[in-house]
Order: sequence, then C-alpha cells, then structure tokens
Amino acid sequence: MKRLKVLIVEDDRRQYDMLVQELNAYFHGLGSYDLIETEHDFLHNMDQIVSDPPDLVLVDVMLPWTRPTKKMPEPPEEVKRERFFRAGVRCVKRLRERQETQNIPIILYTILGRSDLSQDIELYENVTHVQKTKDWTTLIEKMCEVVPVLHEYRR
Amino acid sequence: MDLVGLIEETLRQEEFEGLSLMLRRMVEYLDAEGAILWEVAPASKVVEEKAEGGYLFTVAHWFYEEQMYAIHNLPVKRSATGRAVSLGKPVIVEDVRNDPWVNLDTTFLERFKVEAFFSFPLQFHDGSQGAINFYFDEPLDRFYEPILEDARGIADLVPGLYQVIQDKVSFNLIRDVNDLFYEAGVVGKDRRISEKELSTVIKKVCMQVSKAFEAAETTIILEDEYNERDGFEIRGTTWPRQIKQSDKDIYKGKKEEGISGWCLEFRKPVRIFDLGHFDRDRPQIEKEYPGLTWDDPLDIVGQGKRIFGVTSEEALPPLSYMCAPIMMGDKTAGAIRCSIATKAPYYFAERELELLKLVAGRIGQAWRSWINRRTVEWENERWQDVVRHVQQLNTLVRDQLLEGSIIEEQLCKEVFETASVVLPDASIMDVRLYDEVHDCLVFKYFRGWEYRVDGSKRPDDEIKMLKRRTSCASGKPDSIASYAYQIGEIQVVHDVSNREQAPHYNEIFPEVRQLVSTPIQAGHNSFGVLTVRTTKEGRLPKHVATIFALIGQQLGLYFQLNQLLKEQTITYDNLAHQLKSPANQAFKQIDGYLKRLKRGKKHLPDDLKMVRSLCAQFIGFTLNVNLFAALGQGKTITCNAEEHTKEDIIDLLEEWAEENRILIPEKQDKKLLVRKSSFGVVDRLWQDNRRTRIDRELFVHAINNLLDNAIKYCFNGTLITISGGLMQEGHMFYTAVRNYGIPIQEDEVEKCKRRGWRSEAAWNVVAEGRGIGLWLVDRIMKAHDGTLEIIPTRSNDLTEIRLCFPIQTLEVSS
Repeated sequence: MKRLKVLIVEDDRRQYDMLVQELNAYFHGLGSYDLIETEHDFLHNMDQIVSDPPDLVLVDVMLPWTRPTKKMPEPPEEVKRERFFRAGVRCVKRLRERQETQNIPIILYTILGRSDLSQDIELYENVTHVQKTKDWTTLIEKMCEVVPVLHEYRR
Repeated sequence: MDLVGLIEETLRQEEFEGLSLMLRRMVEYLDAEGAILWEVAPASKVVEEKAEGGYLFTVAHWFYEEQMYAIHNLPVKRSATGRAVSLGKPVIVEDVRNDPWVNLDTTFLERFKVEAFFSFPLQFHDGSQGAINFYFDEPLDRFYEPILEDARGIADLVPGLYQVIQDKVSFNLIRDVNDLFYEAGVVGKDRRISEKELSTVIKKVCMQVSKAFEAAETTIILEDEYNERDGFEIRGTTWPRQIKQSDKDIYKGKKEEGISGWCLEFRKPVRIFDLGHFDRDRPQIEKEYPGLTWDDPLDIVGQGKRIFGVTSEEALPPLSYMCAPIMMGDKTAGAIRCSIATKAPYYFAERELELLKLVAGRIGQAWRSWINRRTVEWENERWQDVVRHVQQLNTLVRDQLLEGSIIEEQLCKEVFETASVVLPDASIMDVRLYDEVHDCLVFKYFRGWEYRVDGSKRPDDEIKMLKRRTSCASGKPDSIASYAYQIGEIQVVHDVSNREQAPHYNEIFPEVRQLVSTPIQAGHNSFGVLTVRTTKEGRLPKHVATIFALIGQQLGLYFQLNQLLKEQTITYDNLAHQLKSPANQAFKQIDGYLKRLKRGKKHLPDDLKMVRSLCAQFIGFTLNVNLFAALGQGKTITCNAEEHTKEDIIDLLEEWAEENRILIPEKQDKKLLVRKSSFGVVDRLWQDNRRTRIDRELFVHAINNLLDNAIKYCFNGTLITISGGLMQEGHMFYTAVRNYGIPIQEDEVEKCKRRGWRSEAAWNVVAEGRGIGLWLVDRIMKAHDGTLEIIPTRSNDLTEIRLCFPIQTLEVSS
C-alpha cells in the first residue's frame, strides 16, 4: 500500500506523542506523522509542504508563534493582532491559498468546540472539526471519512 | 343718597379712586362742600422731630369744585386737623378765620370756599392714624349739632370702608397677577411658553402693579441661573424713560448696587419714604437698612419733577420707594420695586409694602414653575438626544468590533458630537488617555480651536493633532481633568475664574468660562478623561453632570471592549478550554496506560509518573481557576500560615520540581534544580528564634505558577533553579526562581503583576494560559504580608522572581 503522510500541527509534544501512539494503534503501516510545532515553523515550511503535500493535515488551533530563543522572529501584524487563538486557522488559510494544497483534507483537532469555529470551517472546503476528548474513535472515524483510503490501513 | 346707598356704592369700589367716590357720597349726604381723608405720613423720625410730630397727607379728597391744587399737607402739631389726631377727639372749626389752629393755607381755603369744617380723628386697621374732614362753605350756625352727629356717624364708617377698598385692591391685584400668569400659560398648562412670551407677561404684571399702587415705576428683576448674563436681570419695567442697556439692568445682588442690590443681598423688603431727602434721612435709613447706599442712578428726582410738573425739588411731594425680594424657596430669585407714588397721599405706606410682598410671592411661584418646566424640557430633550447618540455610538462600536477593532479616533469624534448635543454651546473638547509608560494623561483627540502664539485662533479643521501635551495622572493635579481622573469623579465648573470652585484650573484656553471633566472608566479600570468646555457664562443645567458621567462610562466601556479585543482577556469559558487540555491528557494517559497493560508494553512506571504529573498540573489549573473566581467576586485569600523548617521547604520544593521535570518535553532539554544549600538560611533563622510562616498550599501554588512560567519562557537547553535567601537586612526570607529566557524589562516589572498582562515577547511563545499567574502569586504574597519581587532580566538573560515572606521573632520567655 502507498505510504501516506499525515502532517500534525501541534505545539504540545506530549499530545503529539500520544496521538502518534494511538494512530499507530489503530492504523498499520500508514506512513509518517510529520510534526510542526509553531506557526512560524509552519510558515517557514510552507514551500516544503507545497512541494510535497501531505495526505491529511491535523491542526491544533491554538499555537504559539515561535519558541523562546534569543533571537525570535518578529510576528506579522495579523499574528500580533489576533494572537495565538486562531493560529491554526491562519495555517489553514495559507494552505487553501495555494493551488497545490487547496484540496488537502484538514481536520481542526482542538479543545475548542464546533460553535467556536463554525465560521472558520464554513469558509473553506474540506475542513472539518474534531474536538479533543479522551475518546479517540471520533478522530479515527473522521480521518477515515475525509481520507477514505485510510480504511485500508485500519487494524 | 341715603346711608345704605353710600355703603353699597362704596363696597362696589375696586380701586383707590373709589375713595373719592365714597367721600363724594358722604359730602352729598352731609350737604357739605367737600371732604378730605388724611393720614399721618410714616415719615422718618428726623422729619418728625423737625416738623414737630410729623405731617398729615391727603389720602383722598372730593370737592364740588373739582380742581387740581398744589400738594397739601398739614403739620400735626400746628393744625386743627393735627390737633384732632393728637387729642383723639373731633375738632370743630366754626369759622376758619377765627380759629387759631387753622393752618392758614389761604390758597386752599379760598379756592374751595371753605368757611368751616369738622375734623374727626381716625385709627386705621393697620395702626396708622388719620382724620376725615368735612368742609362747609358757610360758617356753622348755632344749630350745627345734627349735622355734626351725622358727620360723626359717617366718620366712624370710614376706617372700615377704607379697609374694604384696600382689601379689594389687594385681592384684585393678586387675582390679576395670578390670571396674567395663568392665561399666559406660565402655570397650569402643558406647554411651556417661550422666554419672549414670559417677558410680555412680566411686563403686564408690572403694569398691573403700577396701576394698583399708582406708582410711576414698577420693575421686576429676576435671575435665570442658566443664562449667560450672570446676575439678576430686569425682566419688565414701566419706567417711563428707556433704560439704557448697560450694567444697570444686571444686578449681582450686592448692597453696593443701590436699594435693589441691598434687597437682593439681604433678602429683606425696603421702604423709603422720600428719596428726594435721602441724604437728610440717611442716619435713620442707615439704622433700618445698614449699608444701604443710593446715588440716584435712574434720576428719580428728575423723573419726579417731570411727573409732577415742578421745577424745584422743594415743590416735589415725597418720592416714595419700596422693594420686596422674590424668593424661590430659600433662594433669592429676584426683586420687585415700585417708585414715585403719583397720587395722593404720594407715598407708600406699610400696607402697600405688605401687598407688594404678596405679589412678590406670587411672582416667585410663577418663576419657579417656568424655570422647572424649562429645566424638565431641556432635560428631556437632552436625554432623548443622548439616547439617540449613544445608540449610534453602540452601532458604530458593534460594526467596528465585527471588523476587528474599534477605531478610537472615530469613536471620539462621535462622542464629541454627542457632547455638543448635550451642551450646544460647547466649543472646545478633548479626550486625554492614560499613558502608562510615562504615567500621565496625553491629549489624544481634540475638537475646537486654540490660540496661536500671536493670539489669533486656529480653526477647528486645522487641528489634527496637538503638540504632545500632558496632564498629571498621579500626584498633585495640574488641571481639572487631571483631578477628575485621579479621584474618578466628574467635575462641573460653572465659573473657571472662581478659584474656590476650580482650584486646579489651568488656563490653556483664555475664553473658556465653564467646563465639565468626566473620567473615562469602566468599573475599576480608568482609561482617561473627557473634557468639554464652553465660552458662555451662566450656569450649566443640573442634568449636564448626569449625562456627561454616563458618556464617560459609555466611553470607558468602549475602551475596555477594545482592550479586551486586543488582549482577549480571559473569560471563564476560556479558562474552561484551558482546563480541558491537561484533564483530557490525564484521562488519555490513563487510557493509554490501561491499553498498554493489555498490549504488554514496558513503560508503566513512566506512564504512571506522567499521569501523576498531569494530574498535578490539572490541580494547579483548578487552584488558579478557584482563586481567580474568588478574587473576582471580591473575596480575599485566606492565609493559614504555619512555621516551616528548612527541611519542610526543601521537601516541598523537590517534590514539585520532580512533578514539573516530567512535564518538560525532552526535546526542549530544560532542567530544574533545587539549590538545597541556599535554604540553610532557614536554619539560621530558627537558631535566632525567628520564623518564617507560610501557608503551605498557597506557597505550592505560587511556586507552581512561577515554575510554569519559567518552563514556558526559558530557552531550550537552560537551567531553572529554585533557591532561598534573606533580604532587607535579614527581615525577609525569599524563595527565588531563576531562569534564562525571554526578558522582563524594568518598565514591565509592575505590569507583570497585572491580571491578563503579557509582554509582546511572552505573547509570541505561549498558546495557553491567560496571564493571571503572576497576578495570583502577587495576591498570594500580599495575603502573607509579603511581596512578589520581579528582578528585571540582566544582560546575561537571567531573570529572577522572588517570593518574599516576612520574618517574625519569637518572644523568648524568661
């Protein structure tokens, strides 16, 4: 089977680790789970994403701009104005602005509820929402729904 | 006419002229030649002393020979009539040529062919004395007794009939004044009449009063405190000569302004018998009305000569004057005055003054009614306008919020527009906003004009932004706006030149007369101050303060909304989101642990540790939420402080360091270290019988917040240390958390303790929390009577935060 690539945009490493563990428990031989932890890293890697688009993107909504370092990159005005609260949505917007990534299925995987994000979801095609709960099955089902081929990788 | 007819006809009389008719009927009844009703004039004691008992003046007269004659008065002590008054019994002059008491005014005697007369003394109902004389054109014969008896009977009726006419005149005057006000709509109707209509009514009242008192002048002076012409203004007068528009028609209510001024200042009625002899009577006048001055500003003496057709002052009758204050409750609203009685007896007696006071009372009621109605109308109009404008403001703000932020300049422009509706004469307005960097109020938005250096004005549309002016936000206020901001209360100044009213006024705009400064605040948050100025004099209506206070609060709300929008300050919903994350993770981890058990994986101890740490973090969040909620409800933190040894503190810190180490992602390579040796100071304190008392749970919570911050903000691959020490020469014990990370600048130190505040650098590196950690820690330390010390980042990127606890010395028992 073809190796699929799942891009996970998540600032909490522990959550990423847990997520990968669970996905590996549900899917076999899926492929890779690439991680981007900050919005700056996402922008920085945009060219890479466009040139080699993933099959699915899981995006946390609340992301920091960057990690603390001595020379931190200056955020754009949009980030200064809106802060981290909709960082993931900005990442989605950038994906949809590029032809190569216009149709990639995106799941906003966040603790925010659907009502918090309905406007953002409705703006773009093929963007859905799964709220982070202790139950993984909702996420798994949604992943299979938006990327039907994943059914073939289920254990 | 018989006696009954005489009485009936007299009772029908409505004016003082009716006295003449009464006398006529009496003369006809007695078949006499004429009659004079006399009154002892209420002149000054000086005059009495000089004139030996005072003078009798004619109140009314009637003769068959209806001719005008010169002013006729009689000295009390040197006339037959005066003798009747002095003795209190009738005097019969059988033959004027032979009676030594007859005052030989031959002009009068010859003109009216008087040969004999009866003089009957009278006591009027107000206590004054007088007489009625019946004159005959023939000497009395021996059989005059019947006529005398008839005359005596009629004389007995005179005081009563006179009083009836007086009462009727009084009643009619009050009724007429009432009717004038009612018909004009000053009272009793729904519509408020205009100021012009009111002036017409007042003029009519003056005319009515003048007619009743037969006064040459009646003038009504009233104050409208909201009028720009500050003072008591002449509202109506019957003064025959045009009064020039000058200072004379505005009174400030001071005794130096003549008789009216004295009446206004002291709120007492004044009656002067004869202004023509003011200087002569000054000592008596000074006794009755201390400080009263008069220099005939309206040329009353000259006017008197014209009215009476005389050229010399000696020929003038008394130029009488009376003035009564018009009151609205206990406030002086104005005065009414009458001068120059044009008909006999040519003076105003006490009864006239009493009537004038009644009229003044009626005018005061009508004036108050009109003022109140106008005030209510003004208020209603202003409130309607304000509500409409606030609705527009709300719509503007809502639309801007949907766009993403409130545009302050546009908002303030709309607020200025609203302010100009409330205060149509407002010409200069500004919004000053608090600049926390420089701790001052900065002029941000402005409407109006300003003087250039050369004195010329800059028109409004040239003003874009003033040069950077500031006002003090703390310390001694340097302006009214500064004062309003500092005390958080609106300031309304009706006269900026009055230093008592406006001690903080600083004259940026020389033409300003009144101003309002209202703080822009929402709850406990102050953003700045709105100031509105007018160049008009007068007094701002009471509703102005209420409305502007509302505008200040509304503006404060908008600024707070804007701030919340920028900072997206936490709500409980947001906190709930934050709370779900570690809770979810903890649950998931437990699930994962159970599944791994089933699958036979080998990382159980690590999994258990992780679960425990996540739960600890969850507990930390819960504590934060609980504290935050309690403080938000105004509760204080309860501190159950206990003594702690060095070992207590170290054990506690190491345990929590262990919890937090596990939560640091390995990739970040951040280390936690407790410097145990530094806590040796606690041992030394114990040795000196000194203790540091700490609430364990709160201490843990504080440390947890500091470590949470340190982990978030420190650079990868660096060390976070926890240590202890003494400061302030050994009076405080501290626990410090140090890390190398994003800097805290010196000017950010105090801001860090503010709820919801974060530096720009901090905003860029977190995706959680709401900036309440240090705020809570600060409150925890205050509950300990301690402090939270934030030491700004040094050049090597090291930041230190200390929890400082007071040390107590135990009393050593002997």
